[in-house]
Amino acid sequence: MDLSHRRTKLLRKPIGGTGGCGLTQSMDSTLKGAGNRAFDPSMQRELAEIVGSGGLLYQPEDLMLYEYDGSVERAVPQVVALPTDTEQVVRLVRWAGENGMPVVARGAGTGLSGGAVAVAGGLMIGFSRMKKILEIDIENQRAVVQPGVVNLDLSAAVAARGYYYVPDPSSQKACTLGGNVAENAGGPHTLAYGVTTNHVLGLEVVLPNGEVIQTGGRVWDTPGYDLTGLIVGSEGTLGIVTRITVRLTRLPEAVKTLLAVFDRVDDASESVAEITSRAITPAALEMMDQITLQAVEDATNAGYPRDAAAVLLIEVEGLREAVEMQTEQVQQVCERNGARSVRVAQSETERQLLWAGRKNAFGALGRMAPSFYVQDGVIPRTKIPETLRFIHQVSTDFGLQIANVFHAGDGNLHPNILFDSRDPEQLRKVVEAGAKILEFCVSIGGSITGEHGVGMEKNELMPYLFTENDLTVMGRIKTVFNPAGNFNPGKVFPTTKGCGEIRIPPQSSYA
Amino acid sequence: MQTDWQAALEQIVGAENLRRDGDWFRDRNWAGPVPEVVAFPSNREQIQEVVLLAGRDQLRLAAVGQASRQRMGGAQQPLNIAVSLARMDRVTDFPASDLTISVEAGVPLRKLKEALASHGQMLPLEIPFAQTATIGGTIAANANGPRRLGYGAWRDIVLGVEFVTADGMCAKGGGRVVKNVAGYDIPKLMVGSFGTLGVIVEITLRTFPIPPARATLVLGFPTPSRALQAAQRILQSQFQPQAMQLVETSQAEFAQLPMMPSGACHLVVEVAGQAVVVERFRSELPAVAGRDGLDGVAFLEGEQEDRLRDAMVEFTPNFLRSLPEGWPQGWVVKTSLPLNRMEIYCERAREQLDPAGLRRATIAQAGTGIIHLHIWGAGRGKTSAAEVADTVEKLVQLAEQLGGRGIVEWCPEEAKEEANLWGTTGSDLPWMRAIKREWDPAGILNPGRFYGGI
Repeated sequence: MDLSHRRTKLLRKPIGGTGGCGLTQSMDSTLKGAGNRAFDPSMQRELAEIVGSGGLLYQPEDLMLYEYDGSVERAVPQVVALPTDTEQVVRLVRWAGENGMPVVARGAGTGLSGGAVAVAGGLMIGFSRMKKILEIDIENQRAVVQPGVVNLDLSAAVAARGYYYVPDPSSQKACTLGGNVAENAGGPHTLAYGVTTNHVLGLEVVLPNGEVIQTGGRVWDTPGYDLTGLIVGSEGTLGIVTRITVRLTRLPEAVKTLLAVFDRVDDASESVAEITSRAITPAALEMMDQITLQAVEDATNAGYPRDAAAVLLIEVEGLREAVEMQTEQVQQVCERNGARSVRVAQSETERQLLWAGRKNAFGALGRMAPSFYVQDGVIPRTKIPETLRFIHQVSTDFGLQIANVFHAGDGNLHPNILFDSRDPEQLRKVVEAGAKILEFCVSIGGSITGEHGVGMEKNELMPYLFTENDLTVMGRIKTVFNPAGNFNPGKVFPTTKGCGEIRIPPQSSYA
Repeated sequence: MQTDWQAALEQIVGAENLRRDGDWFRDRNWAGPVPEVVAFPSNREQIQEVVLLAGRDQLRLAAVGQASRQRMGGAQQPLNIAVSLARMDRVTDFPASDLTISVEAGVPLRKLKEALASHGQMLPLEIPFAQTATIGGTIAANANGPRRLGYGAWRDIVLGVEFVTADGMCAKGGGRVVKNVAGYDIPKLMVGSFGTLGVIVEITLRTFPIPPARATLVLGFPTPSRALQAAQRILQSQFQPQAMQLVETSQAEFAQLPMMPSGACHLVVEVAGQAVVVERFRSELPAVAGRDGLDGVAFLEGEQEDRLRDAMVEFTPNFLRSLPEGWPQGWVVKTSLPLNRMEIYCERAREQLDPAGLRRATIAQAGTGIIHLHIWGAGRGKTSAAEVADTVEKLVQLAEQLGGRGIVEWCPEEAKEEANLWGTTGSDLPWMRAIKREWDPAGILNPGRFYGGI
């Protein structure tokens, strides 16, 4: 279900009071279309020559489909090109450089931080025609894919041979591996095996100057700086990935999924803290609170209890004996911490249904209120109890409903603030409440984003986490690859001027 | 003679934390030109001042811990200052229940291991030079142990780094939580950067619980091919070991490994988990590996397992130290190959080395495709350094032809200027150079020793 029309643009305005490098500037006025050449028939001809007329979209009604991603942000690109190979991407990038156009790459547009929103207009490069799995090499546990391949399609393609691709974002039925690489996507099962960057070994990258480089390779160690690791998660600001080499992982012998039901949120979060500190290592450890459970049951009928305060969805996997033992340990911990019941899924169907409920949770929450705003803060994983209490307090103080559904095992929270965007007073409170929550996460040693990326949603919050020096060294990386700033402008870095010491390539005008 | 900058340096770190006599370098078997001084700062502010001084007076410096790996990589260039972080050896934060730890870069691996063990935790720290190496140097050199198969390499374990830049700023990348995508992944860039981008001062790592049981299965085979075929069968099975190494060291009389069952070469498989899991490995793994080709099987636990592990961890350092001709004569070629190319690589390496009169010892991570080939001459004066260099270059090219990469990790210092240490460089090298130029335009930090002469 597409809910983007029900979400709302969060205004860029003062957030919090961090002082120093202020977070106050609206960038829309300086960014939108600044310096772009108007899109004219001659440009249309030039681009059609590169990608063919069938690979070019420029009518307003077509462009509207590309104005948003899964976040609350919107902006219309001037033109969308759909290349079919690396060479076309190179020509598009060169063309954009010559014409002073911003370039934004886009997979399926499921991102949650505005990474694929063309905030400065310009050329959007869509990868819907580059979706081939180029190679599956089971002996060497590798696959080579084009960036438009859908995440779940890769796992499906290798399942019969006993393998899968580990990172599994909730949007995995739609999201592309190119987008996953750009955002360094996570998912429930990254708890045990790591996020996208831990599974990507090599990249082909088109750089802003049109050069194509190969980073890493098919093998584990390649000499030199880890450019693959640097480009994964760089949100399209350093280059555009046109080919990806990933690791495939052996499917486990046995899997068990448990549902632990709690009458008190504190008991659920204490259970998570104890599972972590007792060194039980589940493959996934997810938490949903009552608001989420009710929404999920209304939408999916997955068998979650509507009256519980919270549930934990826990998966253990490995050799049969290990799974048996860990299942028992998890059960004991939950029961000792006051679980009302702990149920082990008895069939693959039951297991899949529980996961369907979890993975559709964001969609289901869309039924609860006209708008919602999902956050992605991270905390040290034993601090879940106090953080959830803090979020509850914020909810009470601001009079806003907040639904929690998140990756408890690695402390990656997803508080969803429910509201009605038509009420400007509510909107103001949402922004303030969200910033308060992220500020709290950082204050206890956490981060503002665990897997959704910074994008244009949290770029002004970067100074919560990073000093001017920290941002300056990152800026020096951007200077090397993207000196004109025309690759995904307005993302990752704060746009605010007046931070004299931070020298970052143009954010607000790329020319 | 004491120069102006040396006086300034003394002001920064204190006279007692500065050594000019050269003994510190001699004790560590430093190869190539010896730096004029070694300074031992006690905090990051002092390091910032030292780097600023270097920038002002056009000095060159390298960060070191105990200089365990100083002979690794490219030829040592003349340096004014070695900045040793040996005094910065504190565990700064260990929220054990969160399974993370923050340490200063000068913490010795030994101390880190003890700190972790006191809370039932660990890292895959079976890394050469285990008695002297510091965590900062280990990560800067990206020196990983065989258990990276089960627990990941440093790029997967380092969560955050704090470092002093070439222009004297203290900056950090990453964070202190296990999941974090805010900003560029600077820690990935710093892991394995060989001190060329900044002086690492503090590191945050994810940690792992010590598994309740562990053991090592040693399977003996008549040939490396048989052993590697068995390894491939294990990898494609449900049995996922923590480490799996092919060991063929029969020519290395000076560095024999203990506890080995019969067989010309061996597959050393480390397993861990619940006791029932380890027991299942013990009873079923030999069959998965294929009993037909097996010469002998040993199941090692406790002290026996430790003895073998320690010997294997220190194999390369012992090799470099104890060759008949003496320390500087050994070469170590590191290749990283597709798993199904390891067999042919080992075979072709033998075909290259035998007729050239060169001896070899192979330690290959059969689960990751990383091979350390130790090479030495059969006797004094029988093979010239140039001849060895020639053969070694062919071995690196061979790895490239097989879809992998290879480098010369260790070789005699005097051979470094002539030999090609890095293989065929790729389209990414100019961009690595560009990063170095942007971050260290004056070339202050450890110049010339890294990939492609960075």
